[in-house]
Amino acid sequence: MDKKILVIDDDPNALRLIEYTLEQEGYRVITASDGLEGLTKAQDEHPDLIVLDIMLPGLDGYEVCYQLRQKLETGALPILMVSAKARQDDKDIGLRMGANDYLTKPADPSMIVARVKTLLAGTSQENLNLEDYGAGRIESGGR
Amino acid sequence: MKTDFSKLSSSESVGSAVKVMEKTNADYSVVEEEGKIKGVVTSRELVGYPFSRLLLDCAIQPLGTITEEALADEALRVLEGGKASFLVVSNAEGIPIGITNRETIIDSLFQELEKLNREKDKYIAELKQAEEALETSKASFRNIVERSSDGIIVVDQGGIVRFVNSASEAIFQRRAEELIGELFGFPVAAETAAELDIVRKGGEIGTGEMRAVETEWEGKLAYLATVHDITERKRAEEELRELDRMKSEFISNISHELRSPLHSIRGFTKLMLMDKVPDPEVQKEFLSIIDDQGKRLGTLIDSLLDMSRLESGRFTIQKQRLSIKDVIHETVESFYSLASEKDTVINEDIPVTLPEIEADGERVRQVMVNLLSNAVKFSNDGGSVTVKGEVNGSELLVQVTDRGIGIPEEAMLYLFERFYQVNGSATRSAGGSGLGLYISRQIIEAHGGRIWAESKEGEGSIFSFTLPLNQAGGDSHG
Repeated sequence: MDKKILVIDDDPNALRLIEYTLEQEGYRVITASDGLEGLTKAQDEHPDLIVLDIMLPGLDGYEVCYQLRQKLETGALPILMVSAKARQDDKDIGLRMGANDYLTKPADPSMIVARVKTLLAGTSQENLNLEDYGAGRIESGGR
Repeated sequence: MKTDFSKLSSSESVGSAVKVMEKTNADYSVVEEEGKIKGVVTSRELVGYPFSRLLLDCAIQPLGTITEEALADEALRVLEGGKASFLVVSNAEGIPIGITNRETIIDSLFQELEKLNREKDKYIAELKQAEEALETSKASFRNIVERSSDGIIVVDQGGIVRFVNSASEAIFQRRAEELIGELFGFPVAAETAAELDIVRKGGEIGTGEMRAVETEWEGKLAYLATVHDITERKRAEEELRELDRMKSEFISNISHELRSPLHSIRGFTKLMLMDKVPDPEVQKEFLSIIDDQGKRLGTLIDSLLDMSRLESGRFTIQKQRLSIKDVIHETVESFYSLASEKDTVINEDIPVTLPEIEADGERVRQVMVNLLSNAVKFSNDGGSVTVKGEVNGSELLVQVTDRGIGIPEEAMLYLFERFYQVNGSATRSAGGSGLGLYISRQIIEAHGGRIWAESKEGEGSIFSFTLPLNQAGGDSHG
């Protein structure tokens, strides 16, 4: 299997990390470094899954996610948000915008791989245990 | 002393009575006729008075066997009865001591009148005093109403303003005559407390806290509203909230800023630990990313420590004589690689004649790093950044100019504030703690200089700072 994954992140190091990690697992990886580029590639390159950062120049990750969900071609695409925004609020907004899963940076590469695999295995959003995060990953909001 | 009365028996003897009085030195003479008193004369007052007339005016009253003591009383009675023109006045012993005529009585009536008049005047004065007291009291109340810093407004049941005090004029920035007779425009009912928008003359909107109670105005039910202008308090609260928001955003940003490099450091480390990176070239690439990101974390922590020092007042600068030209040049050099990544050129416009100054080299370098990193970070790819240094009067002026994205006008005010980051993900994702310019300002101000920014959105920014040229005691360098 040769699934294609689109990684959208403005931090070149984070891009490189996820790209390398996923390629090691045999995925084809394409990258985008801002929201608009991400949306275009999601449309044109037909990825099987998107790994999405939130703090992006121009359109942020939430907006990208929302827009992807509005379109027929990308409406059901699995989206994994990986962000350094670590408050419960941030995660809640991400899921409300349509993300299937949310990981907080720093995220263990093997954890990213595991989540990607789960999402690609066709696990529907309803069956995903959203509470199953690494301990202490999510900061409580409003501090 | 017994008074010597001369008894006069006839009108013809009146003249002689005077003579008798003059002779005997008596004060009075009683005019008698056939045993009846016809009058009483006193030599002192009546000398020259025609006695015939005196007799004529006297009431003829039979006295019988009147005693000398009763004489005056009797005479008075006669006089009061309006039948005589003269009054004999006796002393306490009943001894006649004087004589008076009707005119004197009228005089005394006048005196009575005068007395009454005096009482009237006194009463009027008292009334006036009372009125004045009332006026004073009214003025005091008016003063209280007028001097009140709260607006006092009477609104009738139709919602029409009937009275306003001066504070109301100030609050609404309208004269009383512009307010009275107009609709108050805000529902008023008894015992209400509400916040209302104060629309000022220029359309500016403030906030007022209003309380209303029932009152009476011109005999009808009305409402007395007091309006307390809380615009300033609201503004202060808003500022506090803004500071709070900035602080929590700052913490969230710091968390984000710490997590991003940590993500790379831990991720690449993990990959290598798990033997996922067999290629030595790739290992090297990843190690250098880890190294860079470690440095990035270090810089961030330095900023946080600087801020912590600033907050606790332990921030100090150590001045020494140095070549500002070198400091600028070295900083610019350190940005060459970052700039070339963005295809951005950094131009230096520093005259070789730039004098040495007394300054804290490390701190000034910190400011330069901050300004240059902002300039490069916010430059468009292929852009240019210019660093210019010059002597301007008694100051050294350094300017860092970029042709980048610029700064929105609303952000200009807060640029040098602690925690401030220009809104919008684009700028925030470019990295930064929201502390750089704040720390820079503290450094420059500690040197006695100024720092400021000029910018136009979409056209670029100019950040300038000054440092004083002549420091006291800075005479030589070794």
